[in-house]
Amino acid sequence: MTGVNTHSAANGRARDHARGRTGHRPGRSAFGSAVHWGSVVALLAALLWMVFDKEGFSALLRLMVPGQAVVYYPAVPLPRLMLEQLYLVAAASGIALAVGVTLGLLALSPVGKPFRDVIVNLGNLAQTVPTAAVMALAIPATGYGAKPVIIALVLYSILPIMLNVIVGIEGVQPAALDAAIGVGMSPLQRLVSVQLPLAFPVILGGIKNMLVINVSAATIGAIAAAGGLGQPILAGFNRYNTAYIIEGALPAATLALFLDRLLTIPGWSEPRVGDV
Amino acid sequence: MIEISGLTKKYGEFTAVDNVNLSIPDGQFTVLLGPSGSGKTTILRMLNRMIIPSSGDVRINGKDASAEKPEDLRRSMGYVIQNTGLFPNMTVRRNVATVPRLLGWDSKRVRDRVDEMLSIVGLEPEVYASKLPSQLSGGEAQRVGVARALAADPPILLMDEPFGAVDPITRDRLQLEMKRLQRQLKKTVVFVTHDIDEAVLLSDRIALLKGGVLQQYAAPEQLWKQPANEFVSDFFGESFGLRIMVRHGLADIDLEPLGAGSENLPTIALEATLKEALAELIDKRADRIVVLDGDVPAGTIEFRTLICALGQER
Repeated sequence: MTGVNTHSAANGRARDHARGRTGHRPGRSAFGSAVHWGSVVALLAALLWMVFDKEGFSALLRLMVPGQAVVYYPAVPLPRLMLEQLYLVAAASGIALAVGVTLGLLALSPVGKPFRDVIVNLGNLAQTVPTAAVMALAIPATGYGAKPVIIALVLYSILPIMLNVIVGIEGVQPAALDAAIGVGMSPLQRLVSVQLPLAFPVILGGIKNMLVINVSAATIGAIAAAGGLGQPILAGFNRYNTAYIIEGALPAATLALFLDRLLTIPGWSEPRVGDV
Repeated sequence: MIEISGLTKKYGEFTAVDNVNLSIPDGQFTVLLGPSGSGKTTILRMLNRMIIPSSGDVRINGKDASAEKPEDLRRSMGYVIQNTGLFPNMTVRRNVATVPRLLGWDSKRVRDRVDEMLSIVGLEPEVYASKLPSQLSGGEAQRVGVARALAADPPILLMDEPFGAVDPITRDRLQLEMKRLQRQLKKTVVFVTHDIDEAVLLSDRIALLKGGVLQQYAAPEQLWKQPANEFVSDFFGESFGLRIMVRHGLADIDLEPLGAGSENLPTIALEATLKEALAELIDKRADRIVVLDGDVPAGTIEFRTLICALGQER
């Protein structure tokens, strides 16, 4: 009996998780699409401006924090900080994507099916551990720098990817799967040409959320001396300099928004169930 | 030739299909008919091993179906299901091309074949090939489903309530086209339905099932004249004779010569079914009708001849 309960609870959790993370559904009209791509371009332009126009961005910071003598973090130039940030996010997300998809497919395979709930719960568990704590625990083993940060981000990112793979593939229209078997596709052919493409919008939702989480979480990496946009934020904390904090936080937030918008493709969300 | 012997499927204590024996000749249209839970879909899915039988075997042209790789077996049988099962992420062309591509045909041959199949099911390739399934009506989607099943020219076609989810008018049209297609292509069709009229219209023979047990396997006329048991006669009901009239045309029976006064009688085309002729007589409150071969009167039919025609068949 306990087994049954655990199963359904994990199921419900998995589904809630994935829905919450892919709920956004933009319109399919040409106007909606133009607005969408306009916002993507605007966010990118804002981001590039902040990173590369030192004078202009400093002027904005001065405007936002009047009375602050030094508004622009002098130790490391912003383009370099952004590059470090991108490196942390890309490395962690790439690894998490590979591990998450593998674990998700494993949980769905005949071999892994009995362990599906165990795998899902492990993913849940990994996400409950605070990122900063994982970094602190990893530092003795890896030393300071990017490594402990990447480990923490990966642990944190596996769940959304894995869950969205599982829920996406489990949500493929039964008729399409039945037909795929009936026409004589092998399990691999079914996966590649039917299940993954149909689950892709849901998986993309997971990727998008992972990236947004990682962009913000990577700023904590500054405490492990990993650099990135967290560095001016940390410096701002230490020196009571709000301008430094904004200098790190605003580009990070804009980057997160940009990635979210970029991967939200209009008219493209969860598979259109029953809409055959 | 599909030979099914001692076919049984058990799920724990429950027996879904119980010792069914059937022999389906090549080129025949066989309908598995029965109420829900009668095991008809289970039998169909055991033919292409989407369900593994508990016991008994299926032989296709003498070869044991379980000896073949399931994927190869399935590629040699067209498969059409309710709600079409079209892959929503693929265009109509890609959907129809599925099995030929799995079989490794070259792209030119696949392309030509897709165009040919779409034309056969009445969809212009230029209009439909690049559409997505979501852009099709229910009837169009079902035609694409049939085209996909036939694309690699399999000798056998398995159809599981293919017209169950389309509106009645479209269903009637699809049924008539299915009948035409079968005459043209001479496939061995195994067709699952719970719709008596559909079964009577399309079948060469009906296998009537109840609770996983085969009740009778015969042509509809035979089921009508010699039902094997009470369930068979109850299942087809009081109007079974009337239903069977759609299977026969005026062209099949001997007409009577035109007599005096025939110019005032109602008329009907020679291609009409007995049921249509009967309906016309009732409609016009007449007891005799003139049969037209094109524009030329070919003879007349009397009400009595019409209602006795079925009894004389076979």
